[in-house]
Amino acid sequence: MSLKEIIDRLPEGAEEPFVKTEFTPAFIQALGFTKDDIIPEFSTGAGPVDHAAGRSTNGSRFIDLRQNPRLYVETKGQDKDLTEGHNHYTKVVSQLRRYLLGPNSKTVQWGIITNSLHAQLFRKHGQVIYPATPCMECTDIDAVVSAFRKRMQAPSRALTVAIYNNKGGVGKTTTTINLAAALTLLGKRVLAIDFDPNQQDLGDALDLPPLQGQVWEMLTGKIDVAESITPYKHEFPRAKRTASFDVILSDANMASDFDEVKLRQHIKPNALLKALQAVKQTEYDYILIDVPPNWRIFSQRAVYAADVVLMPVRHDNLHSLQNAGMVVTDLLPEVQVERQKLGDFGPVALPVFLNSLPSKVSHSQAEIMHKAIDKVIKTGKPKKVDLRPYFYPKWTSNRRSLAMERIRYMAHIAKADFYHIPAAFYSKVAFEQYRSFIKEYFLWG
Amino acid sequence: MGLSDVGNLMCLPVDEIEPGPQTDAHDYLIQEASNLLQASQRNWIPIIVKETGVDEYEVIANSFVYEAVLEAGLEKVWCIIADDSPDTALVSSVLANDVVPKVNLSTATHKQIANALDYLIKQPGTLLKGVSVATASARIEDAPRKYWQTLEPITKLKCRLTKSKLKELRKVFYLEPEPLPDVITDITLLDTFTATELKKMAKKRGLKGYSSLKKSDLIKRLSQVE
Repeated sequence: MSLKEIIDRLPEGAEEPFVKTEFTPAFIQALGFTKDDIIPEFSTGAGPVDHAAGRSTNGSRFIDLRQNPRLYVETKGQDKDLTEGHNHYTKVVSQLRRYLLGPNSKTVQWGIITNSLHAQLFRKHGQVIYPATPCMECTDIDAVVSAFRKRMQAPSRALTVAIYNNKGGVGKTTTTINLAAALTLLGKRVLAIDFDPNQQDLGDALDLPPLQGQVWEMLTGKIDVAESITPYKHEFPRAKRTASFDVILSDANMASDFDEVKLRQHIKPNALLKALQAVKQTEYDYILIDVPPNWRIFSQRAVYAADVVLMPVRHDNLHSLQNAGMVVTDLLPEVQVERQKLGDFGPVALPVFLNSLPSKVSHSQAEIMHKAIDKVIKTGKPKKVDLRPYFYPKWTSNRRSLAMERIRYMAHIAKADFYHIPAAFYSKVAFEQYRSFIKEYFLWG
Repeated sequence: MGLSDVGNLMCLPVDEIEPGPQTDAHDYLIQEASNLLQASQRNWIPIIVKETGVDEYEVIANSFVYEAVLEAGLEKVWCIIADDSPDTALVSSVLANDVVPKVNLSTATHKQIANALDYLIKQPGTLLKGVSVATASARIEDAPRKYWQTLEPITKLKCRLTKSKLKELRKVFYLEPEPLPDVITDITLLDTFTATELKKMAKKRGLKGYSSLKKSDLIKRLSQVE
């Protein structure tokens, strides 16, 4: 019996147990798993997920081993409306998130929510979870299956992170190079991209000269991305070892020669996404893009290419907070609409973090900031966007937590800039600061 | 129905109940809670007790409620009877906020260590002022802590956690150390021994020419797997 027939046979408004036994196992099998690959009520360590699926190798079946699951599926009844933005949708997504982060979920790469009317695929990279497809209607179930299969068969190795805030001076470049350096020291392959031809700060921070025309050629499809990559090496004199990550420097030609109109005529919105496709698949674990402030051609192309957007804000800068809110309510939806034409969901924001926060913030200063954030959160209401989780990730309806992620102000971080070395390479304390940040946001465990 | 009361909500005479874990609630909170109790005459938040004999009970959690009931002079108090396993007592007192839970530092994850330190630093009157959570948790995580018998080695990690501050750390950490391996090759672990101890180790392993080596060279020799 085909999936379509199974859906048609379900009684209208079928409740969860029906959908779970009739539809979901057949759906998972259609995604390329066999009966032996599926375990119902799999214990994630954070509650049981409806179905887990994993690969059986010759001789040992996943159903016996119960180890290394790859996919979780959480099923709801048709009586629960899973349209995006609906109450039930939000609940199921946070439920799936919890399971995907459970102690037994290290190897899981994919999560699906479905009620046989809607289905959405999520990707897990380290501990970052982001939607891989929009929430699709199952009227054409075969299209849903093929869209999911296409993504699951070739999961990209890298997570693309755009470091963005359209307020300048909040530490985007510093964050980019130090995350790149710290991730490298933690054993990850990293590509950092300076996508701001007007400032060229990132190259300067590493003491590397800008490129002459290669980025332009890469973005217009004339040369392969590999030809615009410069390796950055750092030697640790006492430990006698080197650490290195790759960089795409900014293009000096693009800063001077072209005006924006001409750039738009030649560089399509998907130019960067396309150019990175090849290295994203197998070369790197993280691709970090240093996005220029403002919302013009370069920022748009960079955010378009990203899986997630990481926004530094300053505790003493109102505009950096307001802009972070606006990125979530206005700019990202704009880009998502475009990316959804490709069948992707498009970039989503990670919770913002307070960059270079002094170790002592006065009570009144903190209060002013929280009041400003409250105002920003209110601006999301008419647009039906709940901004609170982007500022206060630990806040729930049962828990009043104003905890925000942070990177402390450190003399080392400022100082390293003058030596043209990433602070995370230059100072152990700075590395430890970024490392704990990375463990909070990106890496598993 | 069995004869056991475990799991039941019961109204017991106050004088049959012995105190358990102590509450450190402030006098003000206890006074005002007892005033409210005198008006309502019933504690809707029950005390959790275990049975210790016939008509004898002991508080295992919600000792604040018990204290307020005593203060209010109520004769009867509503209790839930729990079983008498130590695990039940632990989870109940932690859930009731009576005691601060402890984590096993021998096996704790980075997140657990960082959260525990952050908790300690945010307590009023903490001794850990000026300690950086990021630095301290990174260094503790990387140290060979699964072999630690005491928390003492933390003082050598150079993250402002000195000997006098260990008593704060004991509030949240405990250790279940593994025995040391017979042949140690881990550099960070070797570094925690004195040169004399390292030489003894070298002798035991039958190495030659170690007697004139400095500590750093000894560590290098010993870390090479034979």
